[in-house]
Amino acid sequence: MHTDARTLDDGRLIDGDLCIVGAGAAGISMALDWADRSERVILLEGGGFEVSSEMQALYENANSGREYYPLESARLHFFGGTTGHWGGLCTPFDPIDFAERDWVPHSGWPIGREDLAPYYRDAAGVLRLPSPNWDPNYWANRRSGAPLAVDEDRWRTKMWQWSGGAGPPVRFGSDYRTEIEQADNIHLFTHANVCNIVANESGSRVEELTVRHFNGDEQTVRAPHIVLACGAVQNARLMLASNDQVPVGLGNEHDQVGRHFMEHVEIDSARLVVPEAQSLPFYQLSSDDGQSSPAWGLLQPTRHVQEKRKTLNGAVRFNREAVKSNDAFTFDDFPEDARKILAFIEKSDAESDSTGANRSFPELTRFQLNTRMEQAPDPASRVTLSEETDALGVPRADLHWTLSEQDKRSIRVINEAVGQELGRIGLGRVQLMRWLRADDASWPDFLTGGWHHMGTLRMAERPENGVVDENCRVHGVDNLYVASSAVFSTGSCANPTLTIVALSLRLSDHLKGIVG
Amino acid sequence: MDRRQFLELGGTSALALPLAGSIAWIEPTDEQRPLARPDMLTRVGDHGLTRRLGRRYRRVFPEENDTATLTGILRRSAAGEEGPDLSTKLTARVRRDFAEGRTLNLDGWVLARTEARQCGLFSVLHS
Repeated sequence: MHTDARTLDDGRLIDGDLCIVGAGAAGISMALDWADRSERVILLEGGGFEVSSEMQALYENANSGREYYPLESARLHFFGGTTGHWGGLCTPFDPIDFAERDWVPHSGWPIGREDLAPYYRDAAGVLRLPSPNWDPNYWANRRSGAPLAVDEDRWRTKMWQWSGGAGPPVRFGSDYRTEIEQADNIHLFTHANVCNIVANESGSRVEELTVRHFNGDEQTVRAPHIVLACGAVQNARLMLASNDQVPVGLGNEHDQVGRHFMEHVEIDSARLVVPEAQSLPFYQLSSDDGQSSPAWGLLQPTRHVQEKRKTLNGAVRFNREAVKSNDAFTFDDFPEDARKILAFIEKSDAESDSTGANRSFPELTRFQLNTRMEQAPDPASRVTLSEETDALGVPRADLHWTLSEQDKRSIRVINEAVGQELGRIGLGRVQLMRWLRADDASWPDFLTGGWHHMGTLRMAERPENGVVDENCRVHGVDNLYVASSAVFSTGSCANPTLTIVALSLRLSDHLKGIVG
Repeated sequence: MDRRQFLELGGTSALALPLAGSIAWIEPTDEQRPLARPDMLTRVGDHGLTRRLGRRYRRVFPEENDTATLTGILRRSAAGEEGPDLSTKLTARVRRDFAEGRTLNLDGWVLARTEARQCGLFSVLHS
């Protein structure tokens, strides 16, 4: 069922057995997993069913770090969250992403890839992926082309799939609204912005949440188990701003909340020149008719190479040269109005062709190599609170995003290694782009990110090193959990949504064990 | 072609014009011809690219900055490879360089050491 919280009386109490704050990919996946059970689930969404300027403005932020996209348009504050304008690319994290790597400071999760394996399969269903199979050999029989004959000790073809296959990706708001509204035990409240998490005196247990409206009215929400399912920036902001009982912010006794903010570096890095025009259909994103295949390969160094060359985890894609890889949404020209991005996405959805496989791909003599990579976790890359408050009286986020010398060096080393491998198999020669040849920490103005916000409430075994434990429970707070890319300890080169959903389903199982 | 490539090519052309009359083109011997012909690079680029990379190589490795030294090293490199002719042997050696990590970066190009030397020899002969 659904209630617009603006219609509720001031001071009204809302209660349930489980409360999920945020109705994006994480929150909706979790709520659906509880549908038709006996427990009453409260799902709180700050926005409504449509994007509005008033709600988007709540996400405006200060920026004291590197230039970055405006958060009021890079994130969507409505039912369905940022899946309203996401591209739909999915791939799981790699085992190395979870490992402690002595060449990557602050790496290592308290869980491994095997802990997520069953949930990745379920998440593939939620996201309507063409298949839960990620083996390139499986895809070699189901789409154009074949993987390159690379040295398997050094390289692998990592597969990406599109949510929704060759059609539009799953948009949680429109695709799952009916299911949520019709579930008897799920009570969705829209326009229910949580502005404060009220804990007990010691800060060890959440007592209630405060929902606030623009007219000053408030409601109180109580549930024995609370899940924060907003994005990485907003989750951290809410915990830092919830400082009535713990002045440094809830769960922040060890000054970890907001730290280790991460993005995916996505950047043109080199070009491949081949002697005769050819296509690399297994690796090319766009076919002759501008459409995409349901799955797509990138070249990725194996753990052996990453360890030997001390690189971060990255992968290289093959683009048509001179075509910008991210549809011109650089930091410089990213629209501040989220509706402009939505219009672009809606047009793209409408034009997508769901017929899928076996397309023909352009034959080229030059390919633009584009690297997508995790960044090294850095505690100085962080979200703090700004002096300024939003229209609901909550301090705005101050984003201080950093990149390191190791990030750039890794891209250089990976691309040099790609050049070596493609030279070894006789495909062609690789030339690094000019910006990458400089042995310094500078970045060109065409640097882009994936609009992927990760870290800020990272998972760690000990509270000195992170905010949540292996079950996504906030260290030191008995009944507060996080379902979000905020818990990522490292970022992988994988787009985050599949892992967000997988982690949410895993947390859901954990909570069922407690509640049941 | 993007702006950078355009400028790169435009710059090369502009530079080539006044130099064109001054390029000394020494006819290589039959043996030198494959030694000074990096197969893949001549297929993906032109003589200008090969010469430019060769000059760069000789600047980075001044101890190899003469015909005799480069010819000798390349001849020895090819000797360890199998193949019906020198050109095939050098191609095999180039691939083995890539496989075994004997590569270098010249003007951003990731090259096998052997093909970089071939560029070097080409640039000496066609200086």
